[in-house]
Amino acid sequence: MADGIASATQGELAAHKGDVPVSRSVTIDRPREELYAFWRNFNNLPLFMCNIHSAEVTDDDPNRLIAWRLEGAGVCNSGRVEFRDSPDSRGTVVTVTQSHVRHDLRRFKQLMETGEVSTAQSPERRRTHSSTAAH
Amino acid sequence: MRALTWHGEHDVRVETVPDPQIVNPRDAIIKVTSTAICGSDLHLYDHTIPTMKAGDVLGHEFMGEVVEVGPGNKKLKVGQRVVVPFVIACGQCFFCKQQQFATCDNSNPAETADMSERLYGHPITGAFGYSHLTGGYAGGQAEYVRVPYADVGPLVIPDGIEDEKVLFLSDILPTGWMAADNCEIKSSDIVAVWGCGPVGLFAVQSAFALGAHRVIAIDRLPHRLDLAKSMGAEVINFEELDVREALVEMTGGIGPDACIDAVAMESHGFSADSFMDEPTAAVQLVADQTRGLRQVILACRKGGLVSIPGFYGGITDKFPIGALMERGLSIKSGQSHVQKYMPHLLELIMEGRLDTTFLISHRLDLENAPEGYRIFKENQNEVTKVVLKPQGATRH
Repeated sequence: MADGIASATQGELAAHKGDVPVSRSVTIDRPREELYAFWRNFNNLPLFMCNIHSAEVTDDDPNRLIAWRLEGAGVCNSGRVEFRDSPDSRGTVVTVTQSHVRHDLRRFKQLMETGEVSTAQSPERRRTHSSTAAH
Repeated sequence: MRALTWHGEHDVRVETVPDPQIVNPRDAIIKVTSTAICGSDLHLYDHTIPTMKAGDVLGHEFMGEVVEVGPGNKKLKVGQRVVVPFVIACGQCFFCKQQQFATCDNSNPAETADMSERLYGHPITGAFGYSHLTGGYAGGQAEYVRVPYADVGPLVIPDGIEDEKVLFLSDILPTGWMAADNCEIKSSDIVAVWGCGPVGLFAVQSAFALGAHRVIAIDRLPHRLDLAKSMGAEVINFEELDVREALVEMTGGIGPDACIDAVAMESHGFSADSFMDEPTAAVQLVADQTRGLRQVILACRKGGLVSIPGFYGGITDKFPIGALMERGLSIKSGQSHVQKYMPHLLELIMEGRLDTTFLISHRLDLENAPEGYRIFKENQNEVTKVVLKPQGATRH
């Protein structure tokens, strides 16, 4: 799924942000425990994060915080995610501190709320409707 | 399959493109039986909306038959007839749960959401066939279309109702209805509607259906004013009369209780400088034409409601903020929450209380869609709505 996802590259990020890690928050209408558990299973990360090949946990506070060091696409960086209950009972506030966090966090929200990652792109054609088409 | 594709200003073509396919679990593939050209498609035709790409399939008013459903879609079944809302909504975010489907937080893909976030502060919602600002989803002026989150949007239509009675549930009927609904109409109310295009005419019809005492419709095209009159509206031709003075006279000096701006940006569209440049580049929206909206605000009675269903995309100056504030007006606006209104509107259609087929002036095969765009653009008096038949005009 990650193959079809265009995203800011490390180069872009470094050029625009001086390689300083960026924080961003999103409110997801799901319980904190569910979000923590999903993120803690690193096999899930490529579903919404780009250029992930392997990750090593550097800090772990169950249902509250995960920090990691990533290796991927020839670059190495670290990140952390914090989970807090929304003060307005609107779900869980998820704050990620990492490079190119914006797209990853949007995809994480989509995945957890809808079960899928929104895309307008087609994978390679597997089948055709031509046999039933009028033309 | 065959599809209407965009290639530039006044350059749309019917071409053979790859068939759509199921991508996500909740998707469905629809075989399109009827689709319409929307007034807002003319903004794309005039190339006044940024982020279009050559080859984009247009069309956001469509219906058809379900021919394939994804493994995660528990609602739709192959063979069902459905009308598809132009707004793509996930049904599960904070906004969808409040039935504010047109502000869905999830349907615009992560990458394309950047553009509207920079322009508007938050990303806008995904939609079919309407530039990459709304996600770059292929549209429904085609033989087939992929519908994401198809367990939320498409409304199943009972057998025995012809396409043309329900096709406009996809956009313009709920858009006109929400425009009137936003007026919070009471039985003694006088509602004025600027613009007698499809949305304006449906707003006239909806205002009566929601109990308005009188509706006054404003335009300059005689045939469109006649259509408004046939629904019971009083009319003002703005080329013949001063609109504000006429409204003052017609309302005993008070002004209309609610005013609907169904003119919007008059096909001038909007544009953004440096739009596709790197993220740090300045993004500047160019001014929308809002003369109509200024007139709406000045004409509305003190404490009245201004409803804006019409399509704006940029910024504006010379906005009469003083007239708005000093006279205590309220404004309600937004793209229509189509999914919220569809079931009730289908009931009204089935009960015979709403008939929208009067609007259709032209029916064409999909192959003739470029001609449909041309005549819709050039003769707005007589060409009130063009319906395309992707499976051949004789089959449906």
